[in-house]
Amino acid sequence: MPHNDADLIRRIRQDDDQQAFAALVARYQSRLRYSLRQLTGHDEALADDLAQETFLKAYRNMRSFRADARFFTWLYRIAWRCVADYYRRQRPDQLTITQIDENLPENESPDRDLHFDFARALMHFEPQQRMVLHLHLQREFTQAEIAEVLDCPLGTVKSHIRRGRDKLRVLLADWQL
Amino acid sequence: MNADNDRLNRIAARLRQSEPEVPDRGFSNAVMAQLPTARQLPVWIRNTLLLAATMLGAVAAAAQLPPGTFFEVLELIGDNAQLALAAAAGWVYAASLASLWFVRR
Repeated sequence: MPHNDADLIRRIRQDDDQQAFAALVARYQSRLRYSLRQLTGHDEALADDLAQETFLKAYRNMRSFRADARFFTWLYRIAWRCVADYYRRQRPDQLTITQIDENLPENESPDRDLHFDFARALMHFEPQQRMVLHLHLQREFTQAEIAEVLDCPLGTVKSHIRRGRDKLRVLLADWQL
Repeated sequence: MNADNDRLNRIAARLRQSEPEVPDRGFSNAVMAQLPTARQLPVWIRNTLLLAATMLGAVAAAAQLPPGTFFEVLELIGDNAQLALAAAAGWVYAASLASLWFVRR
């Protein structure tokens, strides 16, 4: 029987119920891993490592989750910290635009080229702006939610969105939908 | 500019609609395998242990009394028998809770 997030979180907090946590992982793994693939230029191994780290941190810090927040938003807040930490550890010369393997059998979406091109376009931005654009355009987070996820001023989010959209229009000029 | 904005919004909408499902392929199991051992026992086991410990404690306490003394004690207590029994049960329950806490630590 499916349970809502609040029930599952209550069971984890009260009883350390790992089956409840397994249900949350199953519910959100696809969306989170897809997001992290978009943010890492479709580096699947890196995205999955970051997703694992995110879920483990979420489990360890479940008691600090505020009941009035959305679990998904909170999960992205943790994911962003993992992504930011990862890129902070990288030397600038190690940061390249990942070659995307377009023959991935699991991506059977009819618009897979669009997904790959969008991921490629995102890699032209700094990690923080990349996250802002992904959450704004692909996850439809509000600007306030994005500011909360990134723990940054609302003005920064607005500025990232305005400039990012301008640049994305150019980078995706070949896509006429 | 507006046409370009609309085009970007259409692209974003298409991306959202056609987002592929990422197959689990052992990802969830890998996450679960890395979780720390649960700090607490499941609720039903805790309750069963508590009940069993309480019953054992009560039997052990009753066994300390010489044969037939139990009812004599009840007569001595007289009108306050129920209160005394409740206090004794409470004491055994608290002792059981403390034992469980100690075992979990």
